[in-house]
Amino acid sequence: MRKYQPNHPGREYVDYRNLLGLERPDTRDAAIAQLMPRFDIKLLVSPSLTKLERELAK
Amino acid sequence: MSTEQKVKDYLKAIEKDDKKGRKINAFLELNPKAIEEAKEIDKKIKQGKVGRLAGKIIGIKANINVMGLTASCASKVLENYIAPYDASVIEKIKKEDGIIIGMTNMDEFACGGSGEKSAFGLTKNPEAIERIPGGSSSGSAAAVAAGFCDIALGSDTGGSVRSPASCCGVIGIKPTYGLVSRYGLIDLCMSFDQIGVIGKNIDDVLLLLNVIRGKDERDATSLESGEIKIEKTKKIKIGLPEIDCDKEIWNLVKKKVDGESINIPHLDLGVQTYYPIVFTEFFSGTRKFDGRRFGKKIEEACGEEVLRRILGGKEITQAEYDGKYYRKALQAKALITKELEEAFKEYDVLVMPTLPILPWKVGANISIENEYASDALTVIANIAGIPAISIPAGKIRDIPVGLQIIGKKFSEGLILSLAKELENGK
Repeated sequence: MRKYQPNHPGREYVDYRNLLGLERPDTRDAAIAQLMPRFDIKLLVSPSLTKLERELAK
Repeated sequence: MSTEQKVKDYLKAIEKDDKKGRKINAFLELNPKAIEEAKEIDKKIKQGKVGRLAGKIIGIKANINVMGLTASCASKVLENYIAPYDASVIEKIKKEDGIIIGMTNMDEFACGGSGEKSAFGLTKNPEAIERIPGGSSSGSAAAVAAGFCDIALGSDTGGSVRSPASCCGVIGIKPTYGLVSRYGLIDLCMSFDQIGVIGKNIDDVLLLLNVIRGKDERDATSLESGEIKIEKTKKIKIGLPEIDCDKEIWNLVKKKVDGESINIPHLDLGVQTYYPIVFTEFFSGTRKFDGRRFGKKIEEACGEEVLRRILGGKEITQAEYDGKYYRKALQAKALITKELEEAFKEYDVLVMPTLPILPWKVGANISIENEYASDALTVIANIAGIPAISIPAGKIRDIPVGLQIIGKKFSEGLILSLAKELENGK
């Protein structure tokens, strides 16, 4: 299991993502997309482009 | 027939087909006191002092606390958790002399819609044995469909009562958020969870729903409500939302009702609104399973789907990211709710299929995207906190198809009335 540098001396950080066979990507957006892989997630993530935002702005 | 004999007959059916025979695997545990309790009810019947549920044999989803039975949530994490108290709904069932026959199988911690994600083996669909039974209340729907009990309780966060009801060819209702107390229900997503009823006929579903509904001081989200009644109503105005769905399924459902097409602009945002909220609240809710009080640490003992949601929720809840997903999803929730309220100004109910596709074959390689997408038509009612019922619409290639009726808040009487009309073939 991949281990990260402990935040607190004496404690080990375990990345449970490894149990899913996944490595953590560089960005949190990518990490979320990796775990919640769905169509059109961008609808919620890209504030300036979504039809939702346009609707809410009316 | 005496209650005792009825329990014995159901236990015989379970013995024959649950772990042996067709191996439905609907039950995780049977109530060892069921026969004894039935004898007591028979005595009360003879005395003429009996509750409304006397003679009804009921299955309970394994995420609802029934004192003395295992509320495992079909997870290794809670496999040794014997409930030390009764959930509010269970207190009410016992008070009205219902007999609890056992705890039913489910997708682990209600995370799933297929019935394949229990740590104690998948549930089979008695009506289409090679197909999934739907989930997450897979065991409750399968138990009713297989003739293992009269009625069952499930929980519905995004369709977990209606989906298995549709797949197994039975009836399943998710009430208005707040109609039924959640006290004693182990949560998946507390702002969406509702306990619902699965049965073979509308009368049984109505009976149990009336018993379990009502304000409960121990659940601040529960609300006062009156007795739900089926009434002969005026002609019900039905809206048929424009949705993305298998054409064969839509055509079968449309044939059953006389309605008008309606466009609800953001209905298609349901799934992407639902999951960020579920991931976030589930992550928060599972922090109690840290191994100190309830057995094993959840991350180390759960299945893949549960872990996926915990890790996803953990990412979303990081301070700088909750605004990007969770709060935005709450905005979308408000928008969808508003649009549905507008729709109900014009139509009494909305009708659509319960599921956009037929239940897939057990073990089929379904992507997470497609599995989540299959919730598209059920999550809507949870997002808006409104009631919805799935009733059998017929079969396609011998596979059951569910018709879903959605109404505005506290319109259970109306949607059950239409369901009753359809049950009677009107």
